Amino acid sequence: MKLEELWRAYHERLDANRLPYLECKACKHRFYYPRMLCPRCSSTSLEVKESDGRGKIFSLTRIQKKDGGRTTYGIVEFDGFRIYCNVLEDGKADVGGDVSVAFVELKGRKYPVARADA
Amino acid sequence: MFAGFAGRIYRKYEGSAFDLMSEAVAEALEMAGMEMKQLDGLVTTELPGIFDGKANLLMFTNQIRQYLGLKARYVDALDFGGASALASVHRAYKAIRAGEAESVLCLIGGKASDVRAKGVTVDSIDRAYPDVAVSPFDEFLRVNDDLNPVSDYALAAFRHSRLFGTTDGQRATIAAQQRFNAKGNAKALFKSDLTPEQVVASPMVAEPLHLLEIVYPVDGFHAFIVSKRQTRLRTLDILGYGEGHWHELPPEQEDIVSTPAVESSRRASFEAGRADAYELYDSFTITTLMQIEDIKLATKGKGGEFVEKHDLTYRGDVPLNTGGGSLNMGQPGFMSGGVLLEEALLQLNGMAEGHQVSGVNRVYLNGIGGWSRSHSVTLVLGEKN
Ligand SMILES: [Zn+2]
Repeated sequence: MKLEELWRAYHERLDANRLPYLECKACKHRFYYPRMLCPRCSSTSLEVKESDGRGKIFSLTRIQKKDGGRTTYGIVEFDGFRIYCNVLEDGKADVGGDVSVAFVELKGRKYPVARADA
Repeated sequence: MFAGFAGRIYRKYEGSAFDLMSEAVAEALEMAGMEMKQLDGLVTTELPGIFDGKANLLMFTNQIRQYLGLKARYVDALDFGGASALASVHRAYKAIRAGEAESVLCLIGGKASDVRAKGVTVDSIDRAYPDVAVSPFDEFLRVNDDLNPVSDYALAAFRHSRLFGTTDGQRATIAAQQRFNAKGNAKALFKSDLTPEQVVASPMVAEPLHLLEIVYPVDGFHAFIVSKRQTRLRTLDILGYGEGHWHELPPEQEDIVSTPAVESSRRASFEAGRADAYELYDSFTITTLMQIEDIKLATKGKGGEFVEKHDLTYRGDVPLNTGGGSLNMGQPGFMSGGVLLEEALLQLNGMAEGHQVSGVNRVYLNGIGGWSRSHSVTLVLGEKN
């Protein structure tokens, strides 16, 4: 799959509130950031799959914004792959904490964020 | 191997990056007692925005040579950000040994002020220049509220704290001890007293990193002339050298609490404990802390304890960032490698007035570029026995 096709496959799923990822048919490696070859074994035999949307926080940071607000940004591990994303939380989220994927709309497209479980 | 060197740093330089560059080159030539026409090589580096706010300079090594009037038979360009300076010296050294050049100018720096004025850093340059790509995955990265490069280092620091119990106070002691060193350095930008408590009390930028744990980007250039010519400088050699280049984005790394210094230091094959002084990249306190572990001064996870137990000042048992580091000198053109190398050469030549470590024969340098995760260069300088 070329990058353009991958982007289309990703956006179709994201717009339907589903979190896509790639799985290598050769070595079963899973990753999120789309490219046409497996970063582990270089196979081009890849499949777009959908995550169950349950994840754990790998790391996070609370960023002080210029307007006085605060935003949480992190690395979240879903089923076998990790992504960078914003984290919706109440200031108590921590490494290892459970999250669920949620989607936010930006410029007419949807993108994943993680919502910390209450 | 060094005939001359110079560093020119300003908070905001009134003039073009080309002018600033020329000042540093002229000063290095003067120290070497050489003229421009005696140089026949150039190794340099570029980042977007650092030449007067221009997104990019087409064939920039040529533009630099056009401005300086430098006729070269050896030219090389590096792309390792903060790790470029140390690598440039090694490239020059190899070219000279191979007979491809006699005297090579290594030039590192740029102006941060024009980029700063746009409210971004080089690592978030895509927010000011939408046509500049930061990664092949920008489509899925630009949607996040990150604060690069601070947020990536903050993610590393946060996880380091949770995995190993590293405290804010431990990181702060690095900043405070480097400030002590800066107080003796006439060229340092920040010289007021600073305690670890004050570092922790400074505004939170990206948890757990506070303002005084973060380097300030400035305008500046460093010039190093690598040459066989014998000058009044001490005859030095490379006692250890290694590079590490990692390609993974942090979410795709096995873990994020190490830097490629793990690899570059291994390749350098020089036991870190045998050095007399250490110049370790200090874009953030956590950068230095991770390198202390990665070059094996301390085991992974014990860097926090190490900086508490040891005296990192220039008078201490582990003299580290002996001129105050980039945290106190400023970060010229978003790359601190020149700051490390200039300080190492001052120390080795007994020229570090006010912050001289006594009996320096070997300095261990490590440069990091491309956030905490892309490039590391380890360089050990001293006299060959
Ligand atoms: Zn594979």
